[in-house]
Amino acid sequence: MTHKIKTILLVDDDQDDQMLFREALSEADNSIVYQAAFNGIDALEKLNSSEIPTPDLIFLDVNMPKMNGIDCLKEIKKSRTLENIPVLMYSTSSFSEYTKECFEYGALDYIVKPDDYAKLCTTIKQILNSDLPFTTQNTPL
Amino acid sequence: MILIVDDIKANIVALKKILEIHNLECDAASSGEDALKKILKTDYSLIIMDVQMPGMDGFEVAEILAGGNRTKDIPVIFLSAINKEKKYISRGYESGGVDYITKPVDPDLLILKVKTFLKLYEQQNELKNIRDLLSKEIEIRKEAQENLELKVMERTKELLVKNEELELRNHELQQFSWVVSHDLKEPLRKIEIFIKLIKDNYLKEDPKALDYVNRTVNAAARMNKLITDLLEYSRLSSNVVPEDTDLNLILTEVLSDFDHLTEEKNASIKIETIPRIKGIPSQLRQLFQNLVGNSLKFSKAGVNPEIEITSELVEEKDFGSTVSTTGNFCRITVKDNGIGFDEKYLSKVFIIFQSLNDRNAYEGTGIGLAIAKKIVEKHNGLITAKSQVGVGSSFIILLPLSQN
Repeated sequence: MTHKIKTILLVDDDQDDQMLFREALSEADNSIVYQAAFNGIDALEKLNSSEIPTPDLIFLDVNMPKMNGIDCLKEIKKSRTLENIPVLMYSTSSFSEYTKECFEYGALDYIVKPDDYAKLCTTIKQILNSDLPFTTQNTPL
Repeated sequence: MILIVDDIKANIVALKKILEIHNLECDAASSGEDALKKILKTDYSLIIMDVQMPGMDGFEVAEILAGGNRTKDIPVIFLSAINKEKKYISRGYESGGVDYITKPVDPDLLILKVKTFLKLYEQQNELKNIRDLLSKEIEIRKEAQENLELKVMERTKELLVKNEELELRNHELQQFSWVVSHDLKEPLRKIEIFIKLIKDNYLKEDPKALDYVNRTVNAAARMNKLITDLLEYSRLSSNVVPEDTDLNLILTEVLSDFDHLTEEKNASIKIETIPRIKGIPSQLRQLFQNLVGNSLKFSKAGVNPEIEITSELVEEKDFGSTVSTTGNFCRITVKDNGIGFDEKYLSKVFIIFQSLNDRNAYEGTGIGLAIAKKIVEKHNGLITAKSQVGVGSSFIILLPLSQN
């Protein structure tokens, strides 16, 4: 059973990656609302305010200033209102210690940032078409 | 020198004569007090003393001598004409005398006794000297030992501090190279992504621009590979616990990674059974990946690559060591029929960034063999190569079966 993803939040301090992601996302499905946050603190502030609609999926970069992705993930999973939002870690690093930690703290998957735009489009399409983000969810958000 | 103590001069003269006939040197004192004065000044080896004397008697003199450190070992023979009773004789021994002789005296027996006591005294002195020497020697050794221990302790402490410093430096360096490699990769990834976007979206109609961009893409890819290899190299320094490793399994995996290239180059690869060793699987995989990869990479144009991996147990950590089924080292040889290299460059091939070959003909970052060497060294092993230009290369690895 697939559930339509309407809103995605990308937390990434890298402006280029934000832009590429936005373009790839609109190429995949231009009806999806794309939201951006630029570090962990920024993401938590936006998630806890009414500034943006609650996302159906969060892409979370690992290496970021102010608050990194792993700490942000911990905060999200601690929050009663946010804990059910599926989080995909999204990083250039495939360092196994990070990935292990991310899964321990409840990330749904760990995606290494593709080094090619075409691959990025494919990856995003795959994620949007899979059941994966919602397998642990009982109710659509 | 013998001291004769007697208040009667005639006795002294008589005794002196007897002793001097036998070449025994004598001195004389006419009273106890006189005797003590003389003993203070001169070292006598025997005292023959009358018992009854005006003033201080012989027993008293003997008792004083027994109390002095320097004098307590001088043998005293009492010689008496009057006090012959048992109680005097007992007193004589009690006061420290070695003998008690009563008159009349047989001169021959007296000389025998005197000589015996002189000899005993001499021997005692010798023993004492040896004992003194020994205790001095012990003292010196003890001191040296203590000094040594102190020095060792100081050195150990210094070394521990140095070691800690080195570990910290090493860690910092690792961290540094990791961060550098990582941060270098980030902008490069962007260059690769955007240049490919430009290529795919805007340059389809312009062959010249396409060529330039392709060259840029290739250069970026090469740099990416270089950074990946550097990252790998810097990561090798971290400490990992060795585990039971099946090298056959690792080689099978490595070969399957090269499936495509093997097929493309129509290569044949033969592998002998290799024993299990204690090692770090991921590093050993990297080692064989680099060696087999090199053999495939540096193949001769138009010749099907033939790679042979052989293994044998040897006794010692030496490339020339004799084969032994009970040996504790494993000698693995990766042999190919590739382009080979001049052995005068042997010392260079294992050094980072020392690629011997023309980069246009053979791609390589010059890190592969440096990584291989570092991995082998991390496993307390050795690596070398034999090669001949145009004939092929053999890379020989010596790995211990267990890590202590």
